[in-house]
Amino acid sequence: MVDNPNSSDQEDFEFVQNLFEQIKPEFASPELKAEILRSAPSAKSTNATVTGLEELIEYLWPFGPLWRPAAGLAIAAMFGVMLGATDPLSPNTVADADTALTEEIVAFVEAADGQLEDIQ
Amino acid sequence: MINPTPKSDAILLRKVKDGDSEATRILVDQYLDRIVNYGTRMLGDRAEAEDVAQEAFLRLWRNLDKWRAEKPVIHWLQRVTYNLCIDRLRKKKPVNIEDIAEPADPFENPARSLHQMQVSTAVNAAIEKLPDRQRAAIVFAHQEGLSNIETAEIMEISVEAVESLLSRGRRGLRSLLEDLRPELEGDV
Repeated sequence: MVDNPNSSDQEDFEFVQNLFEQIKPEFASPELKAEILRSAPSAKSTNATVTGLEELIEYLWPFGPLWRPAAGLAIAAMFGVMLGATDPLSPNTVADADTALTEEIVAFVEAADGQLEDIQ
Repeated sequence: MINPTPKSDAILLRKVKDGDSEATRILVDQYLDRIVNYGTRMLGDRAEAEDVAQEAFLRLWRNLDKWRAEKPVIHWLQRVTYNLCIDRLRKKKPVNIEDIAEPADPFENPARSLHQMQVSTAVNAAIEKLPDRQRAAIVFAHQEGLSNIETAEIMEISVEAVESLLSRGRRGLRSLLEDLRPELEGDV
């Protein structure tokens, strides 16, 4: 490159600044913009696409979507434990059922007793 | 438009991380054109510049979790773009000035458009002839309007080195385009 002995740094600066002011700027194509927007994180939209149900879930369970399945699993486990604790085949439950059945039979017999006398 | 600050950028990035599509659109609108413009000036190729811009934004999305509100996002994007451009230039064969495409036919105000295109083509060709680091510094300073300190941070060199690159780059451009000076100054 040829050094210009007459040029000062300020002149060089102004010359180059003038160059850049005359260059046409480049803009991104709409396709590139769309591609970049598509590649961005998209967990949810803050637009009006959030439904009432989603708002309710968000209010009831504000820990994010990752915890929702865990919550469902925990509730299911608790329900299972409760069912296990009230097993209809457990001895206590069978005894209660026997007592109830006996009482029903006695009541039936008492009621039917009068009706049988009428028939005879 | 309000000038973005590191804090406002960090708020915007948090929304982008949460999947806020509107925040993502604002961020892309703010910076994408600048990155493409910088890449085009560095690489001399619009398609390659778009590839680089896409890669820079992909890296930004991947780094959202680690973002700290210390620097403006544009400086981070410019540094990534600069590094990507330098990587590509190292792999690329030297550009011949005769390989540069002819400008398209102008539509409106033909004389002015043609003049602007001719000037743009000549200037772009001259910029491409500069050594890579001189070109990077010149584009940061004169196109992006960065200070020498900001340019030094992005290029990860000293301020004195930036001043030296700028001085040699300006002198080189002036030497390359001396013949076009009357046209560049509008005496056509």
